[in-house]
Amino acid sequence: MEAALEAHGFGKRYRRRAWALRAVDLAVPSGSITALVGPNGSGKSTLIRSWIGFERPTEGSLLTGGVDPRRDRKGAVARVGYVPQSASLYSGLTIADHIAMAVTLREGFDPILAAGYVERLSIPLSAAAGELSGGEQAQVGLALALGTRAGILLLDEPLASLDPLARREFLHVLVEAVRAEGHTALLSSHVITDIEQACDRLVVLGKGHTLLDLSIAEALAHHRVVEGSGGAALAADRVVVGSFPSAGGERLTLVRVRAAEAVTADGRAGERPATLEEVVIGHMAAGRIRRPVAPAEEAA
Amino acid sequence: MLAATRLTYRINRFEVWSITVMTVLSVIVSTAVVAWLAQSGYANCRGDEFGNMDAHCLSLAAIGDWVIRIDRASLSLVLLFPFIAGLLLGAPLVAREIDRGTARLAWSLSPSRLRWYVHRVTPILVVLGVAALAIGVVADRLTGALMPAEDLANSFVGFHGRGVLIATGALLVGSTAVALGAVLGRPMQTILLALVLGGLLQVAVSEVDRKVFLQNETVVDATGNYSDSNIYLDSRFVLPDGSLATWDELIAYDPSILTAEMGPTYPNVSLIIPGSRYRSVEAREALAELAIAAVMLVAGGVIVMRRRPG
Repeated sequence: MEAALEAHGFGKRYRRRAWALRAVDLAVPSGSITALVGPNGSGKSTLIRSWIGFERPTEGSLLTGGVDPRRDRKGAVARVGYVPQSASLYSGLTIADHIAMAVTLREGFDPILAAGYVERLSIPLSAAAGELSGGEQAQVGLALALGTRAGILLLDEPLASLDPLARREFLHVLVEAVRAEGHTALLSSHVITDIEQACDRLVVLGKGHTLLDLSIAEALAHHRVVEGSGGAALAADRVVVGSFPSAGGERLTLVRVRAAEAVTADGRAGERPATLEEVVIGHMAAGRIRRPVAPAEEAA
Repeated sequence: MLAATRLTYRINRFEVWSITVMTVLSVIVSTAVVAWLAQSGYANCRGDEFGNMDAHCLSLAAIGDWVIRIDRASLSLVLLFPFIAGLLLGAPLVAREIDRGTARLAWSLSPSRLRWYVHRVTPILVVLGVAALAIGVVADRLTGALMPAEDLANSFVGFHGRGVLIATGALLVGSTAVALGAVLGRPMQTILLALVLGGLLQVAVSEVDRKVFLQNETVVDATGNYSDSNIYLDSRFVLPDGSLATWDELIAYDPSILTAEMGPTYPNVSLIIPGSRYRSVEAREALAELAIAAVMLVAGGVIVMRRRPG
């Protein structure tokens, strides 16, 4: 399976502060829509920004479409369409101006494609960006990224401040475009329903490195939930991942199944299949540790 | 490039409009002042030894005094123009885009940040240069209108306050602001720091020129007549062998002058840069300011290519 985005022993440290990420090994397969999830401050944005060359790795290496962004940032940017958390449009420019600007900045930018995505959502091209809602601005940001016709889309929590309808519309456009063009997308998000709706792969970051990297189907097949904090005896093929409170307040524990099992309605006694939300929360609970450490350091 | 230029003007429309309106108004008012002074001949109304003017001049005095005040006030404001225009146009150019996050969008779209930088900087520097040159020409005319007898091409009257140095000064301040904006990524801090650094650089150019280059162009003036056309540097005493001495050197040569009742009797001369050198001095300082501006722009480009988008 060819990887569109790769991280090999990647680490990032800001000045002399603690490591934001350390010893991250990751491969995002071509043609996938991968969700990147993790607690606040787990380094999701740092990783995404590093793949587009906005951050320099402190250690390790990255590949963006086969190009090392540290050595060839131009090449990396040319392979990527990027949507940041805040669309950061020019408030005084119209949407048509933004598309015209993209044409002046990037060879091969497709203004008709970008305008098409914008108009499909009934956003007038003559509207000033400052007059648009947050959801509309995010859509324009996505349209600009799609207009680049880049094979890789990096989306850094673009849905964070959007209402449910705006999120749904954004994801609809994203999934349709990615499937139609055969793009690879990496979507950083906290909203599990978005991930279920759009993504086929899940990466959880925590402790400064990768805690989980599986397809959504594998993630569901490999995890179960038990009531309590996991202190009770577990079968030998179960490993406790993390404990967290349910919506009702009782303590739940996510356990990992060593070999994937078909999810059955009843499962083993005391267990039930985990939802995707529980898989994510269980790993995030496990990853809630301040100082990222390298795996070798952790083992010691 | 045309589309990029149009967009750059739209992004910076407040600043571009402010400077354009300021320049056009300035040109209109100054043209009216210069035309009135030339037509009326009021600038030649000097009055006699008691300050009394003839009937013609007296009939113009009510308006003339105001026009002269406007002329002088305009010339004072011209000195501020390189800073106002340079900071207003230069400081937000990169700093605001980094601050507001629009640089992140643009840099994610453009594989070449240098292209983005050129698209932003070139049109703004053209506006800055043209506006400041217009103000420099206007200042030249205003100075000429106040002193009709002065040959401004051969005079240091209004030096640094007229002509091409207004334009190069504005480009120096503007380029400094662009470079600092690329480093700081904050418009207000950029304005404050560029104001200080731009001012220091302009003073440094003038001082270096005076101390290093002007020494070679110094002329000894023994006439004893002071003229605004020349730059007065210092005075010297002429020793019997014809050599020139400072006051301290003179005391060392002849300590008796300290006790002499009438003071030193040695002839006194002035060291001046004659007004005839004005064009060459102006050209040299303009080139120095342009060179520094170019260095600042290159530095700004390098920073833009290397820094995080904020």
